[in-house]
Amino acid sequence: MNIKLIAKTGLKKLETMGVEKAFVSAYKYTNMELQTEFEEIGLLREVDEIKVEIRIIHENKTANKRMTISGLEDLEEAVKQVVETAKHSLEDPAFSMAKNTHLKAHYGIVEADKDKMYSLLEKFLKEKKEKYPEIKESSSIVFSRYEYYGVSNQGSKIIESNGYYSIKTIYTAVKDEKSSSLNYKFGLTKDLPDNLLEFQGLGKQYEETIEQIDQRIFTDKFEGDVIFSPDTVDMLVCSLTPELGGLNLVEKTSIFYDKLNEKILSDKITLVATPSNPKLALRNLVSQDNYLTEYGKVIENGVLKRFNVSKYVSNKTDFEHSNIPLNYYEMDPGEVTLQDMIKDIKKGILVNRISSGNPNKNKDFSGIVKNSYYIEDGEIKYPISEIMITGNIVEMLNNVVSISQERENRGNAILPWVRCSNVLVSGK
Amino acid sequence: MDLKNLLSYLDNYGELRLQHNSDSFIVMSNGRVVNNYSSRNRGFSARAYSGREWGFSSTSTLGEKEAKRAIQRAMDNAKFLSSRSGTSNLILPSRPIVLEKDLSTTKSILSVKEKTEYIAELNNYINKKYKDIASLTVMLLEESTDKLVATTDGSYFHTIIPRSYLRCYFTMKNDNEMITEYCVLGGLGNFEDYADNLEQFYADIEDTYKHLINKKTAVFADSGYNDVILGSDVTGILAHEAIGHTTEADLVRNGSIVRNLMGKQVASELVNLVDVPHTYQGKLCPRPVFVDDEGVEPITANIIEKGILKSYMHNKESAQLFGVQPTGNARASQYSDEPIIRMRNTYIEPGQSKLDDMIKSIDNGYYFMKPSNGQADSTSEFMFGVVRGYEIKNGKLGRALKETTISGVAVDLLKTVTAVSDDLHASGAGNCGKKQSIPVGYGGPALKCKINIGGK
Repeated sequence: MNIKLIAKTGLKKLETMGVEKAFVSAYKYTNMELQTEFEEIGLLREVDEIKVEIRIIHENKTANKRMTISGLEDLEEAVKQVVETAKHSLEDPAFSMAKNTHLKAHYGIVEADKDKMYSLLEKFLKEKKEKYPEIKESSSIVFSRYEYYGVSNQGSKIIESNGYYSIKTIYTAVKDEKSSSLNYKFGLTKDLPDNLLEFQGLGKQYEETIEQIDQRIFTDKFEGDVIFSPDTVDMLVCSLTPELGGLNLVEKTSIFYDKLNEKILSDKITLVATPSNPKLALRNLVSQDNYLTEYGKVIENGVLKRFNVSKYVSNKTDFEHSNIPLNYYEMDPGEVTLQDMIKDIKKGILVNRISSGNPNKNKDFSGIVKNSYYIEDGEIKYPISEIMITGNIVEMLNNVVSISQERENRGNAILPWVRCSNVLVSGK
Repeated sequence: MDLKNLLSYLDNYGELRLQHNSDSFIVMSNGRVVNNYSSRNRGFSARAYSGREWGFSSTSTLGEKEAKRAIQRAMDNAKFLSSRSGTSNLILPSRPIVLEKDLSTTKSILSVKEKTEYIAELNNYINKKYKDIASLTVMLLEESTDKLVATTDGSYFHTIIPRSYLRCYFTMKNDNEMITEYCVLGGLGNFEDYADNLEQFYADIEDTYKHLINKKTAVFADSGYNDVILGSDVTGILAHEAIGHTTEADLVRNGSIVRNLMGKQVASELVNLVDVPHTYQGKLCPRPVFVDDEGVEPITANIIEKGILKSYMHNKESAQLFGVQPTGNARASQYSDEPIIRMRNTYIEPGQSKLDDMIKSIDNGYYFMKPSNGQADSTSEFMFGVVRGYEIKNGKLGRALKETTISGVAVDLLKTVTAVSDDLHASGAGNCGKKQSIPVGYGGPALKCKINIGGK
């Protein structure tokens, strides 16, 4: 099925029905996954999918519909339903759809290399068994590709395609009756590595996890320094994202609502929205209302420089339209190596993963640290378990002592290690 | 498409599935409809077995030609793997069933206009009654899963399972901070089944508002190890996260802490934990599974009996390897997903105590009533967020608590259980995110135990 034909046919039907503003997109999605489990490559899975997504605004009412389609005859159903839904929505003149957005972007890989995917996994299982026999894992290499065609009656045309690999491993280390915490590695890449154990330091992570079989139950309680890994920094930043744009600005419930151009975090933090970053495997080039996204510093040296303001939010408030979503982003590196960061700590912990509830509206949170280490007098002493850290995320990110030079590319973000002071650490 | 006919194209064990997931939500924020979205995911999949490997293929394009192509690709994928591994066939156990079950509403289907009017009615009622709320969001979420499955070992079933929830989120200004509360109304079935009787939820809404007001003077819990009462909702998520995941057979094979604990004491003898397919004590469970996606007639997995670990949860392959019967725990979220071991309705069973007596028995502790999200570990260490709770001082409820996190190691925590209440509350509003996000049910009574708290 031709996605251009699907999108254009859908749009024509909506125009025939007299819809004022309509955007129809179709995409073709293919996915190939090879998965290991229990020391074997046990699953080869292939998916083909064609979906259409329709968004309309008519008489200031809006509706969205997304569905898989089997043929052009399915469009009839989709079009009728979305028009019916919009008819009975509530009116809001702030709903918007961009005019004359033109984009053509092709990047990433076109075809999966199935044989290479298989050989990589085969080699990975063999080497893992020899070097890290304690590791029990379920791993996969997935090739994903999409082709996208979107067109509106407002003059917009968006064509995009991308193909990439994702590599995932979820594992635990087991020895006799003991086992470590579950750990995982997930990364997106444009190119398959030559050796999976070298992918983003996976082999080293396996070694650390084996060490963590002998994690000690921590019984102390103190306020001290915590070094957050890139994985946990991502979690902390993502908890702030809803406050940096969206409906929270319309309802004036964002905790940063009146803080534009004011310092909200440590002056060591600069967060940059990079929706079209060539270093990342994924991109977000166009917003839902068809405006092109922008590169931009959201927070610069701790000062809130810009909110992510969609056209709808801009229409409802006095904020300027500013399309800088923080789903793909970077945090600027610091000046200290991770090693020096650790050496400088008298009493603290290195946190590789946090398991926590969602922070509350004020960003108070507490979480269990996982796959983490106790630091004393500048040295990593031993792996720890059953520890909770408690604090307020905004306060923590105001108490930044240093940021590492080293950063990790996670596929959606490029992030450093961040050391924060005065974090409450409590053991059992 | 005739799935039974298409089975003849498989040259070994296999499953064919035609699946249709639909979901929609209408979000009303402060009286405005800010989102009105629906989606449908429909397609065909084939899973083929060769050696000890699986080939899977799916397509969103329906029709016999595409289905045959998907079947051939699934078989080719299985052979691609088995030819390289050289493994010989494992004979999978079988408990086939032929079944048709449709839980859709028998009432007239409401239009979008009518649904929006009902949501607006609820929104207006709340706003009129509770004037000090700063922000109110009312969200109607509806979803339905329609599966038609045929397997080469004789299963053939068609099930349609809908669920529908109204979620109400309240935000209130409290000096310089915002406090929030929420409630989830509805359950199994379509919105049409309860839309014309929203008054039935007014008591729950009043209750939620009272807890919100109590949060105005909320305090942080003290961090550390404490005596607590876990309310029914929290016990349910404990059953799912704390023990449930560690006893899924795939995680057992991958090194879960309970791998060597079969037949051993893992909890107080007051604790019985089960994973139920569809009916418990004569009542339909919030997320009923009448057949699993391997076509197995499901049975209750009696996981813990009087504190002793008795069973894992199995699919066909793990059952064969462990030398037991499959429990019917294999499920796939979307048509493009392969079935994997999932929980169904996981409960700690009720006991003999009264909740009031359990609270009275604590001098200094906490009563945790409502969870947010939760996560588990293969070590049985777990955590979940608690968004509603109270101090217990000298046997009485005290001040409300700010949001906190509780954690523990399940095989230790369950041994500290000293009382189990005689009631059970179950919920099906949650989703489990193990590789594929899928609706699950969980529930339990109140428990008295000791737990680690993340406070200040």
